[in-house]
Amino acid sequence: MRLGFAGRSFAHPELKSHDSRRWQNRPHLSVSLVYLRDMMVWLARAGITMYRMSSELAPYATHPSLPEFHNQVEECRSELAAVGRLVIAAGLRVSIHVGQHVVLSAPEPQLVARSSDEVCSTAALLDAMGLGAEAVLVSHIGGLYGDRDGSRERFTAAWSDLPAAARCRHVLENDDVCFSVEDTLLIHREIGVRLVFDRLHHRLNNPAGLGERDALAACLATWPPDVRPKVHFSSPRTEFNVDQRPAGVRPRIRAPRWHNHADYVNPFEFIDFVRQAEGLRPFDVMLEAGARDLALLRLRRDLVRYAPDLARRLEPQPAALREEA
Amino acid sequence: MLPLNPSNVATSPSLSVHTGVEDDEAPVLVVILKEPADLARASEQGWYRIPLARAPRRVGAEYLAFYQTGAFPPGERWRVRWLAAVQGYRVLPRRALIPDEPDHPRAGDPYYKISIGPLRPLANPILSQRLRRITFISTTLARLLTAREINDLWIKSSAQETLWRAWHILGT
Repeated sequence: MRLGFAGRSFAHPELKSHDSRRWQNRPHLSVSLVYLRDMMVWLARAGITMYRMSSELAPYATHPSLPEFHNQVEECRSELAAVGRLVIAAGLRVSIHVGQHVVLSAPEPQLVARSSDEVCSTAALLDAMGLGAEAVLVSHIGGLYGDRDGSRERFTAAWSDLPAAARCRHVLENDDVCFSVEDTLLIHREIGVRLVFDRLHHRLNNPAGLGERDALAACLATWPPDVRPKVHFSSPRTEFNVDQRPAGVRPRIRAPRWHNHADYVNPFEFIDFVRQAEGLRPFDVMLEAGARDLALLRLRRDLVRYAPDLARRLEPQPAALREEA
Repeated sequence: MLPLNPSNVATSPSLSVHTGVEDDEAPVLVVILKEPADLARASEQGWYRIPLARAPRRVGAEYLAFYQTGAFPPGERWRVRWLAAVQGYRVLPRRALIPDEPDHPRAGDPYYKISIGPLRPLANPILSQRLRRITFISTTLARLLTAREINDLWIKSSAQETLWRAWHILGT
């Protein structure tokens, strides 16, 4: 079982996940790829073998008003291939989660077209890196627009219109408000798209009352036998939310909202989750925690301490267990 | 006199800066100019090279700043005087970068070719007071623009400061 984190590093905040310069300063995919290479140097040192790359690696690549940015994947063919070779050599599993603006279920054709462009562009980037089928791009279904069945149908139609290369990379995740595992399973049965099980979202949005193990098993079964599935895991943030206000104004304090991610992963929740998956096929876990890589490193230590049998399943095995062996 | 092509040097007196959308935390890589010819290449041709085999841990940056070694004339040596915005990176064999040396022992080795914009002078050149050996230095734009000497460029922070910076940068 590999553990991964997304985006920027908390252990090394000076490492960037992508070229975030605004368009006036001419950001470029080639710069993002060097940032990715630098991040991989840290991942290798930390023994981290799963990583969610930024969805903005190719800045403005599908922005309708900035056509000068549209050809970056083509311009960086050799650099993408070189970074892809590094990824493969490191045994790193990478993925991309496209932004919330990608809405294949939208009623507006222009928005669907832009969303399709973004999915295709992201898939082309992963293809140009020469990565295997484990390197996926994740999205949600999109909004409800007051018509659950209609939204699902629009998603299904838009997905089916994607080129085969994009469909091969695309996987679908249950969300915390609109579309539950029940919905993603319905779509899977129709078009075969692979499903990512997001555990916190399932706890927040499960009107059908599907048991966690059953829902997880059903999502894992959507993946081909030779491709290891991935799931998302996070703990809900339980602390007050403090909204800073202008100078002289007292901060506003709000009660927690359970869909916010905690900074770290509650190890006892995680252990229970993995234990209840005993007997199911192996999977990798993308941790969605505020403290990113710090949370991953802490969870690894916690597993060694509180559940060494599970820690032995980690890839790579934590150093403490290797020394013990 | 330095072999700089004036047309390729930005006219603004200092970096305070270009489009007004720069980020204080923008990463800067300080690289070495072994001799004046390297500065001429950076200025006139708009690129700098780093062999992949000897690349530092951090190569990615929004700016390159240039440290001039003792091979530069008095008054120009042992200092960082110029800065340029990074435009892109390519990975190319050395022979593609320097076609005049096809028989070089490393002609087939891959190099980063870092394309840069016009060189901009720093308002305050950054001196190496102790003449320590300089290789690559990863720093930030804010640190570069306020540094008085080379030692000011290194990011030295406690775990607490690092974490605070991470929260700040990520806007969490």
